[in-house]
Amino acid sequence: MRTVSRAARAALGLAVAAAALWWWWPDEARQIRGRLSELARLASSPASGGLDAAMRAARLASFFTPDVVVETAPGDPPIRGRERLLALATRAPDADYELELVDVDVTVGADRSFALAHLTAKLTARRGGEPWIDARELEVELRPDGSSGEWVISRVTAVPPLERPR
Amino acid sequence: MTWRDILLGRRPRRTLVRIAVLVAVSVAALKWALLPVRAYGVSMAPTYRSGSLHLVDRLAYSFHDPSRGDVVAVRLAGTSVVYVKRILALPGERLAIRDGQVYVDGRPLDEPYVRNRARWDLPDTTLGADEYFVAGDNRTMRIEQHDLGKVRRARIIGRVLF
Repeated sequence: MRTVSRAARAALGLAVAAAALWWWWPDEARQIRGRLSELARLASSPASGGLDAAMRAARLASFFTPDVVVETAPGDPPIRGRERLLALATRAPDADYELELVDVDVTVGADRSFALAHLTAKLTARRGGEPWIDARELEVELRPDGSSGEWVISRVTAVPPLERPR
Repeated sequence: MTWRDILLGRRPRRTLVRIAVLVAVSVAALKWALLPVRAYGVSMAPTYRSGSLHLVDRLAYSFHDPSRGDVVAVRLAGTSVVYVKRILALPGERLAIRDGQVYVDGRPLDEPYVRNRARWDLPDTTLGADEYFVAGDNRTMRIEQHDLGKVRRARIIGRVLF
């Protein structure tokens, strides 16, 4: 049986310690990515309504500020307010759909009172046949909630990658 | 002959080194040189059908700029989801679409890849120094349902090989 040298053991121990430190070290950007993943999971749904929809709406509300603004496309009127947004988002769907937030890049302000996430929202809907996919590039502004300390979304702006002539 | 001999050959160490090199080259190629994509939707029909697999050459424009007619991948926030579109006009050119026909600098563009044309109309637009105009090949759909327009050079990540 080969004996692992002292140097190799020390190096391995250092690597494990570094990995543990990285994993447990508080990091706002990682927290925000986690929050956004949680939002996407919650927003994805099998087709359902009634009490399920109401409960889901209540949980979704915790991710947004009361005065959240969602700008869907240049020139279109924005969606204003959490209640209005959730009423639109939690209408009984006619298909199973899955929301994924990918390529998430987070920048946290120096004073940690503001954060900006740049990401792609990918929506996959299934209506029995081939999946239908839509994707939008978004800029998401977040700020820490005063009472819970959790990061909440205050503004969502769609970023069109192609500029259509008007 | 044992299974070990069959799997690793007579010189297992050399075989393992070769496998490691092959894995490293594959990872590097897929990370920096090639991007596999699966097409969803009908905007590039009939050239590409929905569900088909393709490969994007991320190094295609390392030494020259995109050309008219190239089918390119356009990134959104990253490369997990991309648009696959064809370049119709180049920086500095003026593009218009009238009754389904594309005009570049006032001259009709020959598009052999387009099978049927709906009566698309798009106002004159002049491209900036780093802008390209892209659209899909499927011109039978309503223009309101088709993603097309000006795209900055920085968003074009490569050329679709096949």
